[in-house]
Amino acid sequence: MTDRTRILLLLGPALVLVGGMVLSALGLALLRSLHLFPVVAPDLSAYATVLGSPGFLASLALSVWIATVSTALAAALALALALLLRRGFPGRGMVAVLVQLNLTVPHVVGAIGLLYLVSQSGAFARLAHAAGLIARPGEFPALTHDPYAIGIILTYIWKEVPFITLILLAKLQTLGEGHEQVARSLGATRWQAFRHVLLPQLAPALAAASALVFAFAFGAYEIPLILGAHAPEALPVAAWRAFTDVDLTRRPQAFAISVLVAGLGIALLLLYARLTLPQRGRHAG
Amino acid sequence: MRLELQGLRLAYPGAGLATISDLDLVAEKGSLTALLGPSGSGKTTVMKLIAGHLSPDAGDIRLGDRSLLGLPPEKRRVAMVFQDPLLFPHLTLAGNVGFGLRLRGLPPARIAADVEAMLARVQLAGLGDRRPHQLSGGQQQRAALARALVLRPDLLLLDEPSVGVDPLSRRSPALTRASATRCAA
Amino acid sequence: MRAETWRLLAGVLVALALVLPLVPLAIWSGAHGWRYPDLLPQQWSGKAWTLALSDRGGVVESLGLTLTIAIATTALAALVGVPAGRALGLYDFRGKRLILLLLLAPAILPGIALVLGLHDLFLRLGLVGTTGGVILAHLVPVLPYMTLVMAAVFAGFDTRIEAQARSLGAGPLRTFATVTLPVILPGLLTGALFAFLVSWSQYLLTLAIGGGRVQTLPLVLYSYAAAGRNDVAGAIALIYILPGLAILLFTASRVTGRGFGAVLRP
Ligand SMILES: Nc1ncnc2c1ncn2[C@@H]1O[C@H](COP(=O)(O)OP(=O)(O)OP(=O)(O)O)[C@@H](O)[C@H]1O
Ligand SMILES: [Mg+2]
Repeated sequence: MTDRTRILLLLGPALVLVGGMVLSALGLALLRSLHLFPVVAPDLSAYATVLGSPGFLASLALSVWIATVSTALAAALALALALLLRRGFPGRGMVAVLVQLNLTVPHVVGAIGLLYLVSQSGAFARLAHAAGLIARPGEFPALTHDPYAIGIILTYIWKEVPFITLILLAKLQTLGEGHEQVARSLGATRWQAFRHVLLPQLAPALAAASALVFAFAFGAYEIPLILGAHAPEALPVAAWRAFTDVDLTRRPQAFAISVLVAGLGIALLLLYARLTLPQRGRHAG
Repeated sequence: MRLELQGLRLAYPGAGLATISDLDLVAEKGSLTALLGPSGSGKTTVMKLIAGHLSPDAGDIRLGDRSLLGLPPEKRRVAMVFQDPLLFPHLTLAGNVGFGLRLRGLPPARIAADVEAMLARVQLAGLGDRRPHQLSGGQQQRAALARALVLRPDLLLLDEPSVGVDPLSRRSPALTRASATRCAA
Repeated sequence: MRAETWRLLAGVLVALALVLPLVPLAIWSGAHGWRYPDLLPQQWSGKAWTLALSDRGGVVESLGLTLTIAIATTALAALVGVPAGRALGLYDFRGKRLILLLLLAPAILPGIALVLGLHDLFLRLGLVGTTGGVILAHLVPVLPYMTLVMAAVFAGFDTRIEAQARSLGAGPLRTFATVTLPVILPGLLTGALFAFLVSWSQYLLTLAIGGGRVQTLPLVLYSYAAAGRNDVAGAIALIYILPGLAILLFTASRVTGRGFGAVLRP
């Protein structure tokens, strides 16, 4: 058997199954958004409707806001947490285990837990009442179903900080402390060694993890479903609502939204590939 | 500048016996001192203590008329070249050699000139734009040496510097004519 | 010493933040009504747990279904992902970057970008509303993780040990079972853990492909929460996180930071 046939045999099932499903899904969404399947007259009306509707633009803006803020805060906190966990302190092992455990908790659970924690009749509101800070639930700041999507962002931060932290810890483990010690010997302060030596080496891993988090926070459905306001809705919620609308003429619009989101996703994918995939060489990731 | 170690002692946490115990050592200004010992005897450890990457459990480290204890590594004016070259992978060769000079805030033209001259001294002239992984093992080792030498430290610590340095370059001026006290192992 | 005190303080804060959202869930699950502004329920009861664990609640059935789907998806992903990882880890060939990109795509494309198209595809294949359809669909977000881990494992794999085994008289299957598998096992377990967890927490994909007929735990959990049964939702939420915790603790010794790093080795 030549290497070529061997490679084809090894990759075949994965390519046919997942490659096939992904490409068909993207292709079908594109065709349906253009009214091409089943064949009616192909047109761009779905895109025109979607892009011209204030509701869509508001949803898009909201989702971009959610994804950007969640990613930025989660990345910054994860960097701090990874650096903290690299040092020794009593209870370090315990925190490290909790970080790993958090990874196994599904997002729905986090969202509902956060709802019961920070809603206007949630645990924090009760504490505020007991402390005499508020008299009625309405006086507690709206952190869920609110225009700034604070509850949604908090959920993403809660879930994604451990995710990014673990990736950074793995990277730190392979880097070791040698480079920083050299930098210190060459006159760098602790901060300068971090800023000019450690951070540039962590940056690709941090950026790649952030790209994953951004894509997830942009495209996930159940968290904004549980914690989001009625209007505007996050883009995935709006798309699913259009898709399941009794008015079937809204379906192409739902597909148009999914194609637009896919476009953004492909841009993220290319960025991720640039950051993680070697130009050449046999190492995969 | 005179280096003096007095009653130096260090036990790594968790390790039973002290790795370094009651070490006294004097190295005069302008001299070259070699630490010899079998693998695992503590040569690297002593240098890390002097450079400030480890703190001793007891004893004193004096350079000139001051004690180095309590000073962070960057304030000691002690440059250490590690056993591995540990070049910064995100910087070019010139970027590596100019690293410490940039931290001192020198003007870029001055840095470029110093780096250029130093690269020539360790026979790496013209390779300034290369990335560390594009250099051979010996070239990397000399680059690490250049990166420390260019700072004109009071004390230069070389941890097995001639591993990977070929005999020809070992006789080069960079290794035989430095004004600092050297402590080589 | 001072620095260590600060780190300890920060560590305590982090630990608290990580656990905090789970606390109200636990309290609700044992509450017999928990009216505002009571700090703790006036009365405790086991009725939420009784309902969740009874036949009426549909939770036990759903737990079994969710486990079946996650395990089947993981097994399928291993079957397909191990060979793919081997090809990507061991060989260099033209178009490799493109193939990697295609196989990684579902991990990075936002969920909503693929779900609607997948629904359309599965509708045409007659798979909407079936458990098999849901398993197949879960393979889409799951396989990238398995493939990446296995590619990283095989990138560090020395094929000469297989050649050695063959020349000592072992056939291909025997060689795989006695030489290859033991060497790749830690990586395979890491990949399987990720695969399981990704399938285990799918929501929209299950909702879309299951067509409402495949009621996995997250869907059941949401419907109780949306119906205002906070106590039952609390109980289901705790049931829902148990298998993940158990698996992680079970594999903790093998799944190190390095294992996680292998997934996304940037
Ligand atoms: N971080 C550490 N924790 C515990 N023990 C250590 C640590 N670093 C080194 N050691 C131990 O301390 C002893 C001295 O180590 P050191 O690196 O100083 O030896 P060395 O003389 O430089 O050896 P070589 O010639 O092999 O480089 C060794 O026995 C080593 O195992
Ligand atoms: Mg040594």
